[in-house]
Amino acid sequence: MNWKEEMTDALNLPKDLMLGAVIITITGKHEAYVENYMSLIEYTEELIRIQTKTCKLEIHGQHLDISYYTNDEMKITGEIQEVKYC
Amino acid sequence: MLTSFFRYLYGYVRVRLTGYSPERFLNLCKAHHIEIWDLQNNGSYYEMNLSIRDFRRLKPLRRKTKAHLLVIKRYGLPFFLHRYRHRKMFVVGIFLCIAFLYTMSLYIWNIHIEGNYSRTTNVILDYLESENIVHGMKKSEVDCKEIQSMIRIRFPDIIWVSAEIRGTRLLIRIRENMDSIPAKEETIQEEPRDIVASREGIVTSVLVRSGVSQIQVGDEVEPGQLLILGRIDILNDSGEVSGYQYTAADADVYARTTYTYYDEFVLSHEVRHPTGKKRYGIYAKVGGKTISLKLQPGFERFSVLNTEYPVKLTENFYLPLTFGSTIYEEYEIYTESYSKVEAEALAEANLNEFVENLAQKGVQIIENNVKIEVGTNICRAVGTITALEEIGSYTPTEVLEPIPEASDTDEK
Repeated sequence: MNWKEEMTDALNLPKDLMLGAVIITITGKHEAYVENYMSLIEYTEELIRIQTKTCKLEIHGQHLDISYYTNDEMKITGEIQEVKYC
Repeated sequence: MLTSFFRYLYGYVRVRLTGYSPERFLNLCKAHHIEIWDLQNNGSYYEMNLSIRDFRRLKPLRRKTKAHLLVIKRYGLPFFLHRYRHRKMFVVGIFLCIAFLYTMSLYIWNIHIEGNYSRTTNVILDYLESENIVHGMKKSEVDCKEIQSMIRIRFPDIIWVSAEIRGTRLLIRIRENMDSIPAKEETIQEEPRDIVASREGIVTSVLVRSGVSQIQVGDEVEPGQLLILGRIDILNDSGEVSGYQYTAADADVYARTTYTYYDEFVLSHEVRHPTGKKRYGIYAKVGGKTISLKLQPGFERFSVLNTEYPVKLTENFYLPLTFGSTIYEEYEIYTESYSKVEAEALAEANLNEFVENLAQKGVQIIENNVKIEVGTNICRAVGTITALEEIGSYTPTEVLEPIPEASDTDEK
């Protein structure tokens, strides 16, 4: 934990704003909302790789579609099998 | 829902993206605030939806990423309008239709009346028509309050009325006074009156409630004979009549009366026999005129049966148009003769009708001595019927000159 994280924790500030942390909301197996990302690195039916401010995010699955892709948020549908930070 | 509506309104396209680095293209779109939805990867190519406005801004991005875009399908109102741009009358028709509907909605199309039991809908509608509340009148001219009070004044037995315009319907709900069906008003007779006999008979019972009885049980009375007198004599101490008091005589006088019955008919009579030949015609009545499509039946003797079908638009809105059909049925006349049994049955039916008529008037039949004879040509039913009935009828009392009170003054 660096000083920035400690500060945020101590002051009870939202981490997505202060640290640029990615927010993933997964509903069941077939829907995921991703916020606070930078760009799409790779998109195939089985894999979506997203670059966020702090790390890369990999979503593995089958028949992955992007229902919408805007500046703030994206919605992924399809069968999600794995979510991986690297 | 709202989003998809606006997307349809502004129009959007589905495009197929191929090229070296589709992800780069997508990220550039994001950076330029170009909204992409329903993005799908089909192995070698990507498909996505874009709004028209965003699609026009894609050109520099395409050049930069060397992406190749192919429009697969167009959706939305702008494309729809463009496709049908030559059909101007269609648009005119839509507006005419809207205008027509609006104009029509300014009028009353249906008058609905509910809650009426003893007053029929037609009676109320006729009254409303006489007050210029009719089908097809303008909604703005209807004054519901006025209608309510009009109906209440015209029909006193309607104790509650509600008139309301709903859409193009005029709803009139009424409540009738069900508890007390207005009984025949027992007019309290103040005028002096007598009771006289209406028929000849023998008095069987007398019950006087007011007045002076002039008869006794067992008396034979003639029509017009005085039964109960409405004038009461006032006697002074010496038993002389000193004055009169008048009252409305009221009594039940029953008497045994007789009716003579005579019925005669000829045995031979004419009978109509339909031959089975029929002709049909139709006609229409417009306003007061009749347009008929009738074939002349060409029969010597025929009966005509007309059936009419009035045309109505809504529940009670009858148009001045009536369709009707006519059936002409040919018949022939034969002269037949009643058999003895038939003649007796007919005579008996006639007699029964006569007796029933009497019974309806409140006459009680005691004895029936009618004999039916069937001759060779004539059937005759003759006899007397003895009955018990009320024979009183009212007439005004003759008012006598007051007796001069001279004798009273003498005594002083």
